Amino acid sequence: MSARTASWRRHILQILAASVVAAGLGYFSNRPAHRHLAEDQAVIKLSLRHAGQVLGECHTRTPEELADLPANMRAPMVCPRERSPLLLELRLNDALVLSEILPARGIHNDGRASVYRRLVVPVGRMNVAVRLKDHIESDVFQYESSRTVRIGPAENLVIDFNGDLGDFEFLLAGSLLPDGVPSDQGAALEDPLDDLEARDRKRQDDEEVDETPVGKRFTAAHFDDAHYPVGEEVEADGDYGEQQNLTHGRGA
Amino acid sequence: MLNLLEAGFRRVEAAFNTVFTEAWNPIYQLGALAMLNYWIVAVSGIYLFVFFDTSILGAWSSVEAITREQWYLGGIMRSLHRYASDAMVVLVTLHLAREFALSRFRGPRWFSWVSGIPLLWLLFAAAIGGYWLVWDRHAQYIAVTTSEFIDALPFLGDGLARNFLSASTLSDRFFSFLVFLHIALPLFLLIGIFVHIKRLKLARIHPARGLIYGTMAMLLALSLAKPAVSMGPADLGTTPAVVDLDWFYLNLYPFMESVGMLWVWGFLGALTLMLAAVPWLFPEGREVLHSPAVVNPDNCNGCSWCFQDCPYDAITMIPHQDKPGLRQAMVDPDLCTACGICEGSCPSATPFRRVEELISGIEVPDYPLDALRRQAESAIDGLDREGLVLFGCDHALDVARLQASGVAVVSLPCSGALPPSFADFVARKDKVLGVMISGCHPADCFFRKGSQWSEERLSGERMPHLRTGAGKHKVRTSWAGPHDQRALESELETFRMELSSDGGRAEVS
Ligand code: HEM
Ligand code: SF4
Ligand code: SF4
Repeated sequence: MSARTASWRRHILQILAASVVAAGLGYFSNRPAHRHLAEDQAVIKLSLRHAGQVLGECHTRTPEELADLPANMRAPMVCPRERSPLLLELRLNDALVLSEILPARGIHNDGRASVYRRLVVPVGRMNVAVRLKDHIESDVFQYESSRTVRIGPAENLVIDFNGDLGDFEFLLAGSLLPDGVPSDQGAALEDPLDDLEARDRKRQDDEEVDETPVGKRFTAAHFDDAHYPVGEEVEADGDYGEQQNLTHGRGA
Repeated sequence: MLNLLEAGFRRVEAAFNTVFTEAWNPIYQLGALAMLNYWIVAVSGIYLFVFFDTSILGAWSSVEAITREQWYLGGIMRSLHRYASDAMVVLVTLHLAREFALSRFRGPRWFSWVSGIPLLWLLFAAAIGGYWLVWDRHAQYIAVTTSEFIDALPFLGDGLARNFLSASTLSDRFFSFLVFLHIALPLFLLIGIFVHIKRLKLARIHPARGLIYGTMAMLLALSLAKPAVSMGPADLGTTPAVVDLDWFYLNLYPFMESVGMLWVWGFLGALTLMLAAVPWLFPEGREVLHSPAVVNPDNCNGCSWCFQDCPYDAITMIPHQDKPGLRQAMVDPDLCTACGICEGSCPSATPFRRVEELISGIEVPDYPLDALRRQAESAIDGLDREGLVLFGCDHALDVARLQASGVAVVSLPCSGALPPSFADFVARKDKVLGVMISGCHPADCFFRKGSQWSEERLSGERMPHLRTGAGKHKVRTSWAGPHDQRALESELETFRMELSSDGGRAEVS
């Protein structure tokens, strides 16, 4: 078969074939670029790890109960270990966007409950309110916190429940960059609103142009449906659209 | 479906044969090429590791330094590391597709097939973990999405994604763990590859030399033309909205976001199970499974030629059951693919023996030697004039189609199943001008080694040899392979003309 094609022609074809392969490898190794957040979208990450209250009361064993037990297990008191699931809610401009019951972990439901949710939201100024109930039958939410923030494009607002402080922490653009890399992203903020507004003013001064190409995957359309004008202060009117549209990357 | 796929592969292979020749055809050595790329990745990886800073704050800058300040070596190493990894996915995917298309997964070969599947997982895990280490925006995207993906399984991760909430939640310890993984997973992959080819004798793990140089030259040229670079440094405070994805490894990531993590898990799980079930989902095809080879100790002298020739390491030598001091062959039926190559290697398999029923030391029950002798004899009787006898392997071509005036055909399970003495025996018959043995090209034998052993036996490099001078003159091989019935026909014609012109049997002593 080889005799049919002259050897110099074969070599040229081989080089050609290798070039095609190389071009394919080179191209698809980082192209086409993938946009997974539209230009007018930002992210809220809500995270928590917390143990609910123990369900039920300790009680003293009756003598009959004690007699039924093996000698080495005759403790006079029994305390239940099962913990209550948590109820976690997130509101944006008073609209409920997340409400989840989080079961305690462990086969005896005696561990901590945990959750991590990434929500894609439109950029702009909004009131963010979270609250947490750690006894499911309780009438009140034991932990509550809210901030008015302004989230810029692609910024992450992290809301993490700090069990030690017993409060939610809000963290916006909390970044730590490698040495020598200039950044206008700022560090963790104590009071997000002040800094954000300062930064907003700076942004307007700079007239920053976003050069990222457009190619929307997730649009803010559902927010508009819910009468939520992007990037403006609003008086939210409750309905925030389908929750599924807001969240992704959620656990089971 | 298999037939269609096979036809597709055959067509592309034929084109590659004209460009690369059979010996250099990359499609015949996909596994070996994947192996070559593994070594390129390993060597370049070791180099990169020397200059890599394994801390969160130092990682990105150290990779930048390798890429830019040391572009002439470190940068090239980095590019080789990336592009050879990308080449591996392509090669392994094609390798899988081809082994599937050519039905090389049935019977005892299930082992190679099934053991290949974990390699896919390891390969992806190793590569994705590697991207993580660069700690640029691409890495950040992968880190967050991957950990959310793992967290999506209720029993697996608990809050892995919480590591990436902000810079303060990400610890150097976690990062070191990732570095460790990126060294451990490729090592597991290597062990996995070792297991994968364990049942194959002399597995082809090195491609043809031309392909080695060609691959290296291609990767080098690509590395110079388009060096691998990082995106900006990771910044957990913002989400990288646009990422330059490596589509070879991350093609499912966009679906994780749009379709959902659990759907992607479901897809991967189903795909893995389906792949694992392939040997049992497609139990029959063109070739029906045959019963494994059987040793007849009476006829075995313990020469161990079959042991050396079995492409699937199914034969071991054990002490002879009747003859003290001698050894005999033993077949492990679970490993035997019934290729018959051992039958072709056994010195007792000679039709010159004057015995009622010809029994060889080792035989595949579906192709007993006695039947082969009878088939050959009746084929010769059927010759309408002086002519050629063609012993052909059915995996290359349906040789029965070549039956013609002056051509008698005997079909074989593999060209290596024909004992050379048979060629002698037939070549000495009056009506026979010459003997042609045909099969797959040695670079791509269905049973891996049949054509190669056959060629070596006939040329005297391997035992058993041809027995008479007649053989050397009148026996020829043709490895036209599955592509080319016409090539085989024309080789037969040329052979006949050469033999007739020098007076047929004139020189035979
Ligand atoms: C890193 C990945 C892989 C490498 C480096 C690799 C390498 C190899 C090598 C070197 C051979 C021996 C070829 C020979 O000498 O005949 C082989 C055989 C084989 N491979 Fe792979 N392989 C990989 C993945 C896979 C996968 C994913 C599959 C399919 C699920 C697969 C299926 C097979 C089969 C069925 C054979 C046996 C062929 C026969 O019996 O003749 N391999 N592989
Ligand atoms: S038929 Fe013989 S050579 Fe082929 S796999 Fe079985 S024992 Fe090995
Ligand atoms: S080739 Fe034949 S004689 Fe030699 S060990 Fe194998 S079975 Fe025995």
